[in-house]
Amino acid sequence: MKESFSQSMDWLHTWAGLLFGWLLFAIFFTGTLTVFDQEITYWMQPELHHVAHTPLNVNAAMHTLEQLAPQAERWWIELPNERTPASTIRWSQDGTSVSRVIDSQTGQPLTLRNTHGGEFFYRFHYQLLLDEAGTWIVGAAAMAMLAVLVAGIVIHHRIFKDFFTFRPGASSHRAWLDAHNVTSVLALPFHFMITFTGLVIFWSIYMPAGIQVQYDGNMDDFWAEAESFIEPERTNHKAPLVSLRDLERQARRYWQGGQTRSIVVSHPGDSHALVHVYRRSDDRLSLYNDRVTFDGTSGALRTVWINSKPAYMTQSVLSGLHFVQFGSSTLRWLYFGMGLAASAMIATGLVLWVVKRQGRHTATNTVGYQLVEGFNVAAVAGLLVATATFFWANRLLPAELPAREFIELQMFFTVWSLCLGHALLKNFFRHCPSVRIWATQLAMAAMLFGLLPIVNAITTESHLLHALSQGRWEVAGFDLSFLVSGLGLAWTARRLDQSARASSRPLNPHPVTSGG
Amino acid sequence: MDILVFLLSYGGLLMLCLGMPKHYQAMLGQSSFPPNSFLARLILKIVGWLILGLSLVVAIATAGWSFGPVQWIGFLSIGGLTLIVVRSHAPRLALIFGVLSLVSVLLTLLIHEIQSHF
Repeated sequence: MKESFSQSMDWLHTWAGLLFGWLLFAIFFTGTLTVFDQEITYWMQPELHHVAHTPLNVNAAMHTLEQLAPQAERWWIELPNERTPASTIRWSQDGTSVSRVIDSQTGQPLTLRNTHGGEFFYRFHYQLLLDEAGTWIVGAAAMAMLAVLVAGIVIHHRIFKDFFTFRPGASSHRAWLDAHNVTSVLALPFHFMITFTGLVIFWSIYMPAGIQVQYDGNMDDFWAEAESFIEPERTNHKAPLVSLRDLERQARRYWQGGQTRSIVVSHPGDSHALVHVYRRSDDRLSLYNDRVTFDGTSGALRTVWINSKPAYMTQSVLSGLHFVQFGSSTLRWLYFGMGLAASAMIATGLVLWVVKRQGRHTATNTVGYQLVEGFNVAAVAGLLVATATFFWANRLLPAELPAREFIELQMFFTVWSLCLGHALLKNFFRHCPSVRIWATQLAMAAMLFGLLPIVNAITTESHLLHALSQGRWEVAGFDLSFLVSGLGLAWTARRLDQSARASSRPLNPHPVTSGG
Repeated sequence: MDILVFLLSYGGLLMLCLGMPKHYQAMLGQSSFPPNSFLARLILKIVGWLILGLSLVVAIATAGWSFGPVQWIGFLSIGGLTLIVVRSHAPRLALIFGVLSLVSVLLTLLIHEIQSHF
């Protein structure tokens, strides 16, 4: 029998959506958190919360680098901004790179707890901590996402008629389908934009043919030409650096009010030293930063590079739309909200696969069905539990513990695996209905998130009331968000628990109807 | 004045929502004024699109040509999701909130206009 176009799209949407859904949920959820990556890192280093926010004394940072890393191949100085009030110095030497957060006024390194912070969610989001292999896996998932989105539009026959329709009180299947449709359709421009731009960022990895042909596959040659970035070899003749503060000031004159993001020194202390001053890009969509390069020993101007070529500009605007380094915190909250909508779309889609097959005994007694049920719970609720654990670990592990940033990650992945084990074991051996397992794990996540403000109050000096009374929203915002997440998850867990109880008593003469 | 864009998105989408008989009846009832006719629905839809257009203008006026449209799309999505959640749990409240938001936007724009003349 020949299937219609719509039927084959339905098949594609169902199965590609299921197979990539678990991975896509993780990618979208961690991506949503990455919107606030710098804020998360700041929150996860409470030692910084009492350090005054001041502009960076560039020369003080330079002196610290001269003391700590006189032999380094390269130095980086990251200037503070509204999102990250601390300054960071970094250097690379013999293939390794080290970074230190410094006091902006004195340039002295601060003693902070080690943590990957928001960087963890960022790395996981685009390469699952697997380097380039991960980038390919995430890219495949993004391609699948685009296909599933298009197929989803094809099979959604009532896209306009049901535009505003959500019937939470209707039958289980109807309610989940409405939720899936609403979160998909209302944020559809975002879903397409974020998936497509995510692929565009890594064009040079996914579509390397042009660079293979023109540059023999040498990316560095390509970038050197695209950005007029040419660095001379080291001479091994010592020569002192000029004042970086003066060069930073000079560079700003080329930017019509643009601010400095970072200063990079290559071959510091060598007579061929170069100083690159990079412009911040938070005042425009385009992500790539314009650069002014000086000779490090004479201070003479070498290059003023401003992103203006059309193809380059197009790519950097598309990347910029994805990275959302621009605009106000309102805009970041909007991205966060739409990221949550995308995560909810994927989660409800996964649930729908199960709900649609409920009651069909031939379908639900198979191992495959039970595996999907278990994976669904662990992929969604388990990830939430693991995320909350990550924040708990950050506050509870002693600040001086060696390799504590690694232990934080270990706890995240251990708890996530335990959630998967719990879901699968409960389902296989105890024949627990999956809605029960959902309720248990969501309740767990609710408890962990809801109690985080208390853990924070006990372990740090920046508790909610203190932060609120000082108007420090970058700290208070976390406690408030944790409370809201905790309440929302608790509400969801309770509703699921009620519906599990209701369905386990089918012969009840007074059926419990779940309200609103 | 980012909040204006949200309120206008919500209000505009509410008008479009009211332009559909099923939602109109849920929020206003069978026999309310204006009559649930083709013409009334058409007017609601036109007004809805005009308000959405106005919200784009306000978004660009407050956040500029490059960030404005991005924020507008964000507020449209969030405004729409808010509307749907409130509409499905408390239809009347969705309507009241919409009217209040449109009135408050009008007042804000009016005050802004008056202030700019003095």
